[in-house]
Amino acid sequence: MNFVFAAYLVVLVGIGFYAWSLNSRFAQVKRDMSASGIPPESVDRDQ
Amino acid sequence: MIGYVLIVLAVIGVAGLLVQGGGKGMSRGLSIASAVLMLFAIYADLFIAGTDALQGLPQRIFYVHVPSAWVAYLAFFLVFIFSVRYLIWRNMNDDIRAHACAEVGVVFCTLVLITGPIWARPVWGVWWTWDARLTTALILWMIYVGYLMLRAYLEDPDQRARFSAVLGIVGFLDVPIVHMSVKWWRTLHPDPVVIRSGGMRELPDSMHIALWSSLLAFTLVFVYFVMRRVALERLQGRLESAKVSREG
Repeated sequence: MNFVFAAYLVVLVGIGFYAWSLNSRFAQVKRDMSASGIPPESVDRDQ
Repeated sequence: MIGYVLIVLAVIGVAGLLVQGGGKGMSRGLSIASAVLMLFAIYADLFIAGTDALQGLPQRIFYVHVPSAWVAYLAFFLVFIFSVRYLIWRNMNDDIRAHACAEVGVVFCTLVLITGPIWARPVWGVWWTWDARLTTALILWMIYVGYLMLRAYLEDPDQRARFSAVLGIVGFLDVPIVHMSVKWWRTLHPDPVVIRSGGMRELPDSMHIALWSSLLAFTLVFVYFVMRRVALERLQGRLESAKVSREG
């Protein structure tokens, strides 16, 4: 059973890590855009 | 018991991350749908599907290994399509889409290469063997990691899009080789078991429910990731152009 748990955890951690990475890259771009004076509503339009 | 607790916590965490990054509109709906389906798929994989008589519990790895492989194939096929489109019409949107599909494809191809050995160890007795399926799958992963590295090294956007489109097209040639390797060469890896030639169903209904729910969940997660990655690339592009015009 340990092999099954290991495989499922690898998959879930992998997908979760990529989702987290996308979320944090989005947050960084939003911060950079607001620092550059680009309004946040134009950020949301692209999603 | 602790294994089940960890998996439940991990799948809830993944669902939360998917919903958290949902954005607005279609992306929001897709994030919620993929999170809910992922929760159901993991439940079906572990509790609905019957235990395989021959392999026992390790066979359940099938329900995450095969959908990851399917998504990787789909991603690299889309890289091929968008690369061809880019070379014909020179539209940068196709380059952005190809890049997004390649990045997400590499994530799922990595999961295939990790879950495969975890499944192989209890069933074959070895973590890895240099047989045709495993070797060609590793080459496929290296090709698309190379694709991402190439993009990172080239600064000129047109040159980057052109070179990576060529690599995206040539690299896809390995996908049919990976798929057919179990028929063309003698390998340890089993033949397809879901639908054999003639359309014969080989799996019981409970295994079909687990497999198809996982396939659908992983596909939705893939579509959601690609949409988000494309939106991110466009935002980054807009930020760069805003900076350039301000400096100019």
